[in-house]
Amino acid sequence: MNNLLTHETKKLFTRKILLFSVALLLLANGFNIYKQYDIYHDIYNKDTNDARWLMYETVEGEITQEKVNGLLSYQKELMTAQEEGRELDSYYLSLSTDLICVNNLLEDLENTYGYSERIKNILQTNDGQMKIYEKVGNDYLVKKAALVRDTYSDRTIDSFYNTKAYGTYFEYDFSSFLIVLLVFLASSSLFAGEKETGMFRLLRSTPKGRRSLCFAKQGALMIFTFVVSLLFFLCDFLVFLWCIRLRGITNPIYCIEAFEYSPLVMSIGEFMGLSWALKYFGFVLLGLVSCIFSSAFDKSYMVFVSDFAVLLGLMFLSAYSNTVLDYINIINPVNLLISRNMFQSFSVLNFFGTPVFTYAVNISMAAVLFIALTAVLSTLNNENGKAKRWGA
Amino acid sequence: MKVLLNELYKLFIKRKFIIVLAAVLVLEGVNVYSSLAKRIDLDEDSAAVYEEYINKYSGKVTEKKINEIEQLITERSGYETMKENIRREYEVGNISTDDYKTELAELKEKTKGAEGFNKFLGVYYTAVDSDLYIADSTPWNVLFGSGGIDFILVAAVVLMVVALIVYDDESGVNKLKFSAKNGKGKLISSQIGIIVFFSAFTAVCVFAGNLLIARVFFDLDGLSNPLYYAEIFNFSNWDLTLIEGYIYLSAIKTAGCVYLGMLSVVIGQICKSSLYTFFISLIAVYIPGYILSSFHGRYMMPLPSSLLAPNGYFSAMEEGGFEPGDGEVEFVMRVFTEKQIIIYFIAVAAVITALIFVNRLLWTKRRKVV
Repeated sequence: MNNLLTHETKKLFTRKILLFSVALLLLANGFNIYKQYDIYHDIYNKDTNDARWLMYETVEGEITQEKVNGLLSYQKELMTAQEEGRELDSYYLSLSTDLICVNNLLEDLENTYGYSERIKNILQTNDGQMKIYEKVGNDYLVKKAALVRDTYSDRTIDSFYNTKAYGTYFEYDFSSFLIVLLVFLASSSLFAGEKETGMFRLLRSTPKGRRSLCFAKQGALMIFTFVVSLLFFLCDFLVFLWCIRLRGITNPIYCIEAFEYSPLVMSIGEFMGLSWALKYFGFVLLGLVSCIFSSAFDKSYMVFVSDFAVLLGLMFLSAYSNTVLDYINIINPVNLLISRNMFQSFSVLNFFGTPVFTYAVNISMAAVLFIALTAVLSTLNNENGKAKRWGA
Repeated sequence: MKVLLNELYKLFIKRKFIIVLAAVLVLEGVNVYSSLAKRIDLDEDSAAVYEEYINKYSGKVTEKKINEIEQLITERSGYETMKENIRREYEVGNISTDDYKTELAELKEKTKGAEGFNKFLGVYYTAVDSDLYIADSTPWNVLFGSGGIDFILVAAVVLMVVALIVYDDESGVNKLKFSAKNGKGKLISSQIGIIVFFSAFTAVCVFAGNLLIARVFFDLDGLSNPLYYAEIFNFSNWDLTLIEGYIYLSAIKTAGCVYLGMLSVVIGQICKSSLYTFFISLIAVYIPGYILSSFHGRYMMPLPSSLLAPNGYFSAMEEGGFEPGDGEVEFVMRVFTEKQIIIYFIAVAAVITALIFVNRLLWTKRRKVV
C-alpha cells in the first residue's frame, strides 16, 4: 500500500503540466493580490496612508489611558490651530490630513474599547428574553438564549490593532478557485487517464489493482492537494503581509469588524489555521467528486468539463438562499471554501430541541460526505469485486 | 469538398458533437428562460405589483397615463402617512390595540408591494423625462447579462476543437496527415473553417434563441428604446437602441467565440492533449478575465475574455470616462476605435501565423508512405 501511495504521489508530482500550472497560477494569484493592494493605494494616496500608519503605530498594542489622552490632546491641538488659522511646528503630513487621521483613529479606538459594552447590552437583552421564554415554557429558545450567554460572556478587547486588513484577507477567494482548478486537473486523469492509455484492464488484473490502488490514488490526491493548498496559503499570507500590513495576529477573532459577533473564541492566527484546514477539507471533497467522475468516464477532458460544471452548480447553490436549498446547502463542500460565512454570526439549527451551531453541523456533514464519497469511489473501483481477477 | 464533408461527418456524427450542440442550445435556453422567469429580484407581492403596473401602462406616455400614475403616487404616499398617524395615535393611547392592529393590517394590504411600485416608478420617470415608451427593461437586463463570461458557450467551443482536432492529435492519427495527399492544406483549412463557422453558428444560435425566448414567452418589447434603458448601460451615451446594442454585443461575443476557437486549435496542437487543451483554454479565458476585471486597459488587450464579456465596451459615458459602480471608480473605454480594431487584427494575424507554424503548412513536404 505504501509503495503504491508513493508511486501514485510521485506520478502526480512529476507531471510537468501540473507543476507548470501550479507555478503559473501562483504567480497569477500573487499578482492579483498585489493589484488589490494597488486599488487601496489609489483610494488613500500614499502620503496619507503613510501618515495614518505612523500615527497608528503610536497607539497600537495595549489600550492605555496615556495613549488615548495623547491622541485626544493632539486632536485638540489640531482643532485649535485650525480655528485660529495658524500652523503647528510639525505634522505627520499636514493639518487637515492629520485631523482626519486622528479623528478616524479615535473612532476606531472608541469602537474597540466599546466592544465589551456592546456585548454587555446584547447579553442583557438576551437575559430578558430568556426569562420570557422560561415563562412561556419554550425549552428550545431557553437553551438557545443560554448558549448565547455562554458564547458571549467575558468578552473584552484589551489591545488595539488595525485589523481591517484581515477582513480583506478572509474575504479573498480567488486562490481557492485556482486550487480547485489544479485539483481538478490532477484528479481528472487519475482514473480516466489509465483508461485512455489502456492500462486500466491491466491494472485491474493485478492483486492490488482495485481497492488498494483506488485508496493509493485518493491518498496521492490528498497529498497533492495538501501541498498545493499550503503553497497558495503561504502565497496569500506573504503577499497580503507585504501589501496591506496584517497586524495583531494574536488578537481575538472578534476584533475584526465582520467577526464581531462570531461564536468563536480564538486568536486571528488560530482562525487562519482553522480556515485553511476547512478549505483543505473542501478541496479534498471536490477532488473526491472529481475522482468519481474520473472512475465513471473514459475521457479525462470529459471529467474536467463535468467537474467544472458541478463546481459552478455548487457555487450557485451556495450563493442562492432559499429555505429548501438551505438544507441542501449544509452538505455543500463549497461552503467550506468560504468558511468565514459560517463563523461571522451566531447561527444555530434546531437539532431535536437542542440548538447546535450551524458550523458544527456543516463540518460534521462534510465528514459524512467524505466517508460517503470514499465509499462510492471504492465501490466503483471494486465492481465485480467478487469475480476472479482478469486472466486468473 | 469531400474532405470538408468527411470532417463534418466525423465531428457531428462519429464524435457525436451534434448531441453536444443540441445540449448547449437546450441548456442556454433553460438558463435564459429561468433567469427571465425570476427576472424581477423582488418578493412575491412586489413582483406582482410591478407586473400589474408595467402591463397596464406600457407603451407611449400619454396625459391620461401620467394623471393616473400621479394619482397612484399620491394615494400610496397618503397611506404611508396614515400608517404613521395611526402608529402615533396608538403610542399616545388614543386607539385600542385591536383597532390599531385592524387598521394597520388594512393599510398594509393597500401598500403591499411597495418595492415593486418603486421599481415601476423608476421606469415611469425615465420614460417621462426622456419622452419615451414605458417598457419593462428587466428582460433586457437579463439578456445583456451581468457581464460575466458564458461558461456553456466557452465549453462548447473548446469541446468542438477537442472533438475535431485535438482528439486525433492525441491518438496519433493526425501524424498521418503529413503523409496524405490532402493531409495538410485541405484537411487543416477544412478543420479550421469548420471551427470558425460552427463557433460563430453556435454563438449566433444561442443569442438569437435567447432573444426569441424573451420575445415569445416574456413579451419582450421596447426594442427601439435607447440602450441606456437597460440598467447596466444607464451611463452609456452610445446612440443605439436596445436591439441594436444587443446585436452589436452578440456580434462581439461571436467574434470572441471564433477567436477562442482559433486559439484553442493552436493550444491543442501544441500540447496534444484534450484535457490540457481544455484546461489551458479555460484559464486563458478566465484568469485574465478575473485579474484584469477592474483594469481599464483590458479593453485594449487582445484577450478572448474582453470579447466574451464585452458589456464594458458600451457602458461608459464617454471615451475614457468614469463609471460609478460598487463604490469603486472604474475606467471604461468607449470602444472599437481604430486602435482596438488594429490590435485585434494583429492578434488574429498572430494566431493564424501560429496555426501555420504548428501545422508546418509552408515548409514541410509531403512524405511518401512506402
